[in-house]
Amino acid sequence: MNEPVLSVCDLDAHYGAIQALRGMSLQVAQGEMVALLGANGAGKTTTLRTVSGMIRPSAGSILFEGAQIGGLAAQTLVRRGLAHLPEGRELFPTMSVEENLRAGYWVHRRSVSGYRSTRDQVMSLFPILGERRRQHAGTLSGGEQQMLAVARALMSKPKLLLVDELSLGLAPMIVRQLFEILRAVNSQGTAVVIVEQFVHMALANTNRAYVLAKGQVVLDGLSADLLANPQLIASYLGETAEVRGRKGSEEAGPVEVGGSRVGR
Amino acid sequence: MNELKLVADHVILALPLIGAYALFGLGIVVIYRASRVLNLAHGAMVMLPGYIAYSAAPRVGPALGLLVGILSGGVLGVLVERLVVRRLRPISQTAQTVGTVAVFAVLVALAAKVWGTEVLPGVTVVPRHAYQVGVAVVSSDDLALFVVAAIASAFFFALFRFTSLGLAMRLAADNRRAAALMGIDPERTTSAAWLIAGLFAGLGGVLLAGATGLHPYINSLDVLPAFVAVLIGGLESTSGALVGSVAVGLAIGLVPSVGFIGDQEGAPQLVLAIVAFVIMALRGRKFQASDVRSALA
Ligand SMILES: Nc1ncnc2c1ncn2[C@@H]1O[C@H](COP(=O)(O)OP(=O)(O)OP(=O)(O)O)[C@@H](O)[C@H]1O
Ligand SMILES: [Mg+2]
Repeated sequence: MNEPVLSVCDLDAHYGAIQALRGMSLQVAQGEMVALLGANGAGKTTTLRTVSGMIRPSAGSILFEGAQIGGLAAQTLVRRGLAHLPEGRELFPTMSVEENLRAGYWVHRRSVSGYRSTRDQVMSLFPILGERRRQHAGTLSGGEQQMLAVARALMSKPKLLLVDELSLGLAPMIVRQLFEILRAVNSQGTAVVIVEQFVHMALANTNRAYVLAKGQVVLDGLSADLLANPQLIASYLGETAEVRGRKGSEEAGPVEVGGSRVGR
Repeated sequence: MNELKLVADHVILALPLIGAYALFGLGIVVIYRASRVLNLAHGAMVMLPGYIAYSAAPRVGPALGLLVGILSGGVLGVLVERLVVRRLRPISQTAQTVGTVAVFAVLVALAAKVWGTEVLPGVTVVPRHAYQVGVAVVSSDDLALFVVAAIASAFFFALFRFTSLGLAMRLAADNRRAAALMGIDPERTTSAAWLIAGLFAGLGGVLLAGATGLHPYINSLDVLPAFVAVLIGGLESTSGALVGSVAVGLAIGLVPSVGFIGDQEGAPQLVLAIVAFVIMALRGRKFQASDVRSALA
């Protein structure tokens, strides 16, 4: 039995007085691709932030490759191979595409030749970025920005990649492309955790899934099983969830879950 | 013809001012980018190293005195950030700015207490010599200030362009949270920014004191035009700060040579205010036209 890459147990997290996670637990095995689903405000983003060290947990444990990492800072964890593509993308807006990629390579910066080959490899996944190398990240289109965010996260050659709402604001075709790229990355051995509002697309592209509500897991299972049982998910995600009747990931329109999004 | 010559002579007189404002302005910009705070303690970080070099020089000689002064500026910068600005960050940006004002007041009072308010001679590092250029007389101190500032500015830009530390500082300034996710410690880049700004303030402060003498208030207020230079450059732009320093240095240096207002008290300051106002108004308009996209993002 392989040791899990990530093992989160009984995690609590607060924003000031607001408790966002209440005994959150999840596991990610090596080479696995896992989805976190849930309505707005369920705690998906907070879970990723706590794991990647952007915020400190107030209770519980986080094991990464068997070692306790709870409370370590983000800048330490990325060095260990944990990359987080955060909500809102968090690019460096006034820096060029190339400089953003160099930033992604920061933890390996001593290897100059390694940078070139990693960059060329990553850029081959996103040819459009090659054409825009000198452009400021803040002036890219939404789709290009998300590609850059994925590319930048891959530059650190992570063992575990956390992705928050890849699909946000993007056309279905681009979302599908990005998911294909994530699956390719996953098949090379990187474990991936995705947070998604588009339930169908998330389940179609992952091995397992967790459904969160009010800061804890209320349902988990194999993605294929959940996909075959849409009523079950719908009952946890609210009545707007509609996962049945889709013919695999070919289908253009993924489903919005949990009502309309609140702009932020 | 004669008038042109007069102006040319005064350009030479403006050189040390341009140099000093560049050294101060680059520091103010770097601090603003790192901490999002306009460092109103900058004047004190310029003045105090002048005194420290003054006190050190009789023991260690003028060259080492200069070095001690520069380093004291760096130490002062790091301390101000660690002890005051960083602690006030969770409260608000305004609190941080007010904090720097408090630091300014404390340091000026401290200097007045220790060294008094009589004008003292600053440390002169280069042998004193006066050159006659047309009608203008320029001293070796003044020239040294300009040359040293030019070299330091070149180092500064090379640091930001070509080193990992420079890239880290630019990344953290652009997006602190993202920088942390990339593996950069934003607290360290912030400290580095204050260190560099402090070293530059120390360098400029000691050299300026050598040229003008030392006084707790006067030397602290010598920094004010550098704030105007930085505003002209757009507060966040290092190259803009350089351009602003040239504009401000020339304004202050040249105005006295202009016939009808030049001999009025406060004329350079008035011209400076007008220059700053016009440039910022123009910048404001350009901003609206070209940066709509990034403003919306
Ligand atoms: N910075 C913050 N300050 C205070 N409260 C926050 C903050 N971020 C999130 N919260 C609160 O924590 C809870 C969980 O938020 P979180 O962002 O983790 O939800 P989510 O599942 O990612 O939702 P969404 O699908 O809308 O992105 C919410 O109640 C939210 O209001
Ligand atoms: Mg979220």
